[in-house]
Amino acid sequence: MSNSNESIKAFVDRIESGLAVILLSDGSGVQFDLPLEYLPPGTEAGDHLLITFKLDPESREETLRSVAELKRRLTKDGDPQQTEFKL
Amino acid sequence: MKGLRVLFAIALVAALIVVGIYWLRHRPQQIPTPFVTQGRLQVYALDVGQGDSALIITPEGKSVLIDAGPPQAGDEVVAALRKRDVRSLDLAVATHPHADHIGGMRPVIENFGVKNFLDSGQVYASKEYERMLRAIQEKGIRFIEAKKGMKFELDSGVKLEVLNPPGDGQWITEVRRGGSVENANSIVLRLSYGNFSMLFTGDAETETEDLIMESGAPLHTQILKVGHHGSRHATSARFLDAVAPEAAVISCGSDNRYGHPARQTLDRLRKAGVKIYRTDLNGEIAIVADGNEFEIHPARQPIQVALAAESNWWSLWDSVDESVPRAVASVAVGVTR
Repeated sequence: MSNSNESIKAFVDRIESGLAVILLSDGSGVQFDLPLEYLPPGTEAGDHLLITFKLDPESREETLRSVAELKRRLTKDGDPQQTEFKL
Repeated sequence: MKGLRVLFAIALVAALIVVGIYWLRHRPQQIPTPFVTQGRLQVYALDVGQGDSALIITPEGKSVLIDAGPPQAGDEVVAALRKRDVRSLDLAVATHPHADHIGGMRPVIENFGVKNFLDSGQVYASKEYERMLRAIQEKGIRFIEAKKGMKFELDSGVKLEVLNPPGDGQWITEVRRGGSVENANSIVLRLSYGNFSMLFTGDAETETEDLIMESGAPLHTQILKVGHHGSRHATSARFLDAVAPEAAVISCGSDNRYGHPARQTLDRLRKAGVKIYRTDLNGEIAIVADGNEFEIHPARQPIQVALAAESNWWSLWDSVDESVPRAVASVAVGVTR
């Protein structure tokens, strides 16, 4: 199990149709696929990886703002009191 | 000599058991019977893997899509709609903004004319959700935010009523530890046609079920689309009492990592005498109703489902607790394949 500050150890078990099958090294059985282009150039089967996650609060806030703005625009012509709809 | 005979008898019995198990596992699956759709209400629980998507087609040909499965199921949802000759959707519903429900929505919006879109109204920081909303805006689709009490009249007395979220800026904010506010504020819909009704619960769990029961909304329905893929935190015994369904449909992916459906939920359904259908075992599940009677036609009828209906002991084989890790779950489920 990894601490939030530490990198997670993993390895590329194999490559299937351009997808790297990545398993965590801790034996937890957690695995996921990633297209090879998301990995460092030259990554091949058997390579070991250090994975680090970093929270991105700015991106989250930006998405929230964008979603709220899209909803404002999508609902501006609707009648919020309408409850009966005939389709 | 006698010892040899005993040994032979044991070997024979062992061989019969092996052959028997092989036959059970590899027996040809029952071929689904053809069914009449003309002039009937049709509901299809689509086989989208670990996710949710249901298509409603009314007797006069109106169509509603409730959720569109995960992103990887988008093409399958489009194909399923085409197979049923759907050319446009009168209503598309996103019960809540999680990707296993809205992931396939963009291909649907791009391939079919969607006339109305019903959303839970939640503001959620998902890029997938943001992209879906942008696609709705680009296509100029009428966008409606759901609230309790809304009614959608389709045709010939086919109606959809919104039972959740509460609406008017009110949200369910208190959820169990580890629960999800987005799930709790799922759109819950009750479809009715004459004496037939079906409840679509999105990923709503117990807190939402309790709130709907308190509201006094009409809950009694023939078929329940089980909440949150059969999670043990949904479909409480008291909710089942109130809904009193004859059949339940669970949408989940085979070998999913989340232990859906949970053994506890399956037990509660069985105890309530509800016939269970599962997209992971039955594939696409078709329900046809004429306003009085309904029929359920699963695309496939695996042996373990048929046997589970007959005997309780078999139930130990066809589900696992949500807390069981995936590796164990795969073994337990794999036995019956």
